[in-house]
Amino acid sequence: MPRVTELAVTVPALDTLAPATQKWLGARTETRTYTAGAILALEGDPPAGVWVVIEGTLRLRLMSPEGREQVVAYLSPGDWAGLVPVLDNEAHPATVDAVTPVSALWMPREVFGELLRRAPGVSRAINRQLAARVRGLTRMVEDLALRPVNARLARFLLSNAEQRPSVHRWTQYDIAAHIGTVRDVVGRAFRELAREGIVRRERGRLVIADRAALERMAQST
Amino acid sequence: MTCQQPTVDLAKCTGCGACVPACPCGAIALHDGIPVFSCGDACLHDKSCVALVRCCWPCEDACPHDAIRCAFLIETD
Repeated sequence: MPRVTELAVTVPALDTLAPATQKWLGARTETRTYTAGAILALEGDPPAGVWVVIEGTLRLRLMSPEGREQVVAYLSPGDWAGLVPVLDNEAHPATVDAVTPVSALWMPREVFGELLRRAPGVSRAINRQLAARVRGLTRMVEDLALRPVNARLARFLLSNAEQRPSVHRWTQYDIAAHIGTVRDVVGRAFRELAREGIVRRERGRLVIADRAALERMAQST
Repeated sequence: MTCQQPTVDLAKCTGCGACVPACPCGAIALHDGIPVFSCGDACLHDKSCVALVRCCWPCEDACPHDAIRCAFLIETD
């Protein structure tokens, strides 16, 4: 039985729960751990419940029959996964898998439904999270539909070089799945950027050498 | 600086060996048709080391089957 009071530190939505509701929730949920690469739900699976990420990173992704991937979102501690199928009672729209080892609070759908009725604060927090995701998806559609691949790559590099001090390792394949292209294209783009001195390709790292040039590329249409 | 070895997708690898000559420091060998990497041993972790300076995923670029993946950090100067 997870200690919901401890989880409230990483899951802001749970810190609004009354003690009695925390106790009720703790008796009906469990903490599950997943190894990196584990699949939590496949695209098309029926809704069974939701996960709240405690540690690690989950990924929502789509895959074509030919094996091409598109990442829809990454979920970090405090994020909820599986919300859409539970809320609209339809199949999972994307596959949910673990990018890193993950610890998550698993909540069966009926418990989640009852939680929303008991705790309006949780509903509001989830609404905010869904709104943020719609905003993120809108930006993704804008990128994919209106920006050339080099601009999308530039925005990706700028965004991920800023967000953290180099903890996450990427592959060209990951980046291609994130920006809606294939690995070959990313590889060619990196070689071109390196030739122009905008990036340096070194063992184990890609270094942004000319940020201003990359920012101009990110704005190109 | 820590650096991960490249990984090989065995479902895609055909054992063609295109990656072997692509490596600037000869750190790839085929064993039973599967590339084996010894990048950690080959790299001197010194600015003069060709592995440190020139290993910018040439094996991944050389693979015609998209079977090799090199993980990297994204950093700014």
